[in-house]
Amino acid sequence: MIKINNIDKQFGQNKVLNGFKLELQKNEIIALVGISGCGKTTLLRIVAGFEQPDKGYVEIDQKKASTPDFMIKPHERNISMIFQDLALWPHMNVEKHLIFACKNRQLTKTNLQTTLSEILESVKLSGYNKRYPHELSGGEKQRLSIARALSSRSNYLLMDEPFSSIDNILKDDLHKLIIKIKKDYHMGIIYVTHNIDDALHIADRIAIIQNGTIVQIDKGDALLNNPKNDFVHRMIQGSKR
Amino acid sequence: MKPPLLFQFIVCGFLAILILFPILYIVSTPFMNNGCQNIFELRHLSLAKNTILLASGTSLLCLLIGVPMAFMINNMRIFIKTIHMLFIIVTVLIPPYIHAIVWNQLAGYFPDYFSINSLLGAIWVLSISYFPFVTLMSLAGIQSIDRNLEEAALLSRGKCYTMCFITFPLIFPHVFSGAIFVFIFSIIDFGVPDILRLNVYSIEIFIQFSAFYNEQSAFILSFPLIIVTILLIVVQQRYMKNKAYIQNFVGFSKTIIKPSKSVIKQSLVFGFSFSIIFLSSILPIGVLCNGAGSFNNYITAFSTSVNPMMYSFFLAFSGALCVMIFGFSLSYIIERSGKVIKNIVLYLSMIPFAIPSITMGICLIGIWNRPIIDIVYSSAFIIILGYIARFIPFSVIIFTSGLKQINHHIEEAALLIHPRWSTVMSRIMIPLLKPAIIVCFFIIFILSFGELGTTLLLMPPGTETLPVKIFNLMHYGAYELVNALCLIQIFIIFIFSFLFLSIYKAATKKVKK
Repeated sequence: MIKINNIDKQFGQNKVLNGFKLELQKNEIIALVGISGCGKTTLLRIVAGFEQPDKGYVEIDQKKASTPDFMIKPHERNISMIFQDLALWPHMNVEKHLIFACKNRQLTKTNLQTTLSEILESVKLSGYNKRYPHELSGGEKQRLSIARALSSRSNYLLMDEPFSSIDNILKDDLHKLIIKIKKDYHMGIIYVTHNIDDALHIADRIAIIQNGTIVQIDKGDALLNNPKNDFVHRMIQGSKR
Repeated sequence: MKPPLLFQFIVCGFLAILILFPILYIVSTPFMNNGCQNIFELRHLSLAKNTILLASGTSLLCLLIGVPMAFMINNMRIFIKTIHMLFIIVTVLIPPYIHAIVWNQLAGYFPDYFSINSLLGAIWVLSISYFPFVTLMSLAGIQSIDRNLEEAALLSRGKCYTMCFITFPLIFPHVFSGAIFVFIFSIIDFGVPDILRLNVYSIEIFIQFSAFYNEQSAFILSFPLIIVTILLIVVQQRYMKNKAYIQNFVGFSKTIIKPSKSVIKQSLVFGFSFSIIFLSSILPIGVLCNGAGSFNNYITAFSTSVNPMMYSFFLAFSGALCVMIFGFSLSYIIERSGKVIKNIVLYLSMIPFAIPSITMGICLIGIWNRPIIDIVYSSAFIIILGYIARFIPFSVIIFTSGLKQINHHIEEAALLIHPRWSTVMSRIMIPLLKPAIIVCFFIIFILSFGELGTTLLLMPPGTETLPVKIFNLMHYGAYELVNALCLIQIFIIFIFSFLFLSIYKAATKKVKK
């Protein structure tokens, strides 16, 4: 479980997170929904270990990972992340991306090849081993970023609006893939988005964020039927459901 | 939107006269009148060895100094970073031959411990002059790294692995380009080997022409340098495809390589960066001040050099203006034309990089020293032609980088309203390119102001530029005047740098608004 407890984070005069609390179980997808600049990405960066909280702590599998005085290194947190711009390494081909992410697992050569084939198969990228990011289409790049996240066999996956710039059909396919991954790998996933429909489609629970804190966290239907305040009501107003 | 045909025709015509014709002249002359016979001698092997060792050694030492400096500067606090950048720029503004003059004098104080008149001495002097190119290019590379690329790696692997497999490969094109530039500058440098009495190709080319008036031999000796340099330029162009050479150095980069909190490590870092800055900028100025002697020497140096100074200023200003206009025109054709024309113009305009300054001087004398066009040869125009031929690659690099950042749609949107291409150029493109125009003018002005190799050969009788005067005085042994004049030259360059920096800041502010 990831436990985010009472996190504060300030950049200069701008308080981005304000007493933020959240608990994520394994085999669960929580969507964080909010307007731009509400602190969603900062929260993911704190959980991943790229930023340090000013107050509060992050606990991963009952182990303190981030406090104002102490930080576990990102690669020791058992977390993967899919970035908004995907952050694919331009000088590495598909296979090298996965090998780089796999190496912490100390697999034998045969096991490594089997694992790579399985992962590429699961994201439908078999046969693309030698291709570089610039030789992939938009959808294939998205799949590669998912494959890389899967390679390290982490317990948790952080997704920072990764599907914000793709068409609806492709997005639908990738959502299905993420749900499948959650089931197959028993992963806990935090999915950041500003699109309530994406959240309703993919998430087990949805957290609406305003001014650096969660104003309501609920299952999709409960959120649609009982918005807690006017802000939540406005956030879900445009939903197609 | 392709440039108008007439514009392309005129610019390509100038390219043929100013660049292609000199290249063809250099290539064809040795093969006329059986000129190739008995040119290659056994001692040329030693020349080749010295030249290659000088250029490779300089590149290697520049990498060893320049890359760590880039990481250190990137991690410094903004105030210390600004000071370091200032000193790095000071180093760039001091021409290499002035560094050689300084180290030549310094070596005189410790004759038993340190011989500057050697290959290692020349490598050291050139490295201390050229390492800023590697530092600035590496810094541009570091600042262009997307933080997410490193962070994505940090989630799976530690810092060392991430640095080795992600950070360094990503900045490699910049570092490699910096090293190639240093290699090219070192291989064709004339001033430093001449002052330090190191026998390399550029010196032999000069001797062949000035002592034996053997133009053919001089050109043939240039061939190995030209071939090696062209190959390196091709590799460099491929590596740096669509990458910016310079970034905005304001603020902090987001790379994962963060400063250590350990006092010992911080002291080591500061010690290293301060030593380099001391050796490359503070010490040279200190030695020159000490060597110039009394204040009267400055007055004598100044009063006897007003004409060379004015002449240097006139030549540098005119040269910079011509190179800027021609460079912009070439870059526009490169960025807005079809692939074939683009590549021909691009590579042709880069070739002058490969031609040693002395060879370019000899070539221009050969072309323009003819009865009908003697007016060019006997006037300042020949030197301006030399500057155009030598510095056009810098101008093309700056303007192509600038043009890449202007979306085609901006131009096309303007063309929908104003069908006249010249109006769109003057009202849309040139204002948007103002920062690049100022940077280009500044760089060419500084390079032209300190140019020695080509000017030395092309100088019309009865005239003298400041660098040529320094060079001549040094060979007469007037060291106090040499030191005073070097300081005056550096001072003038600083004043102009300050002026250009102010104009640049004002111009970029307007463009950003």
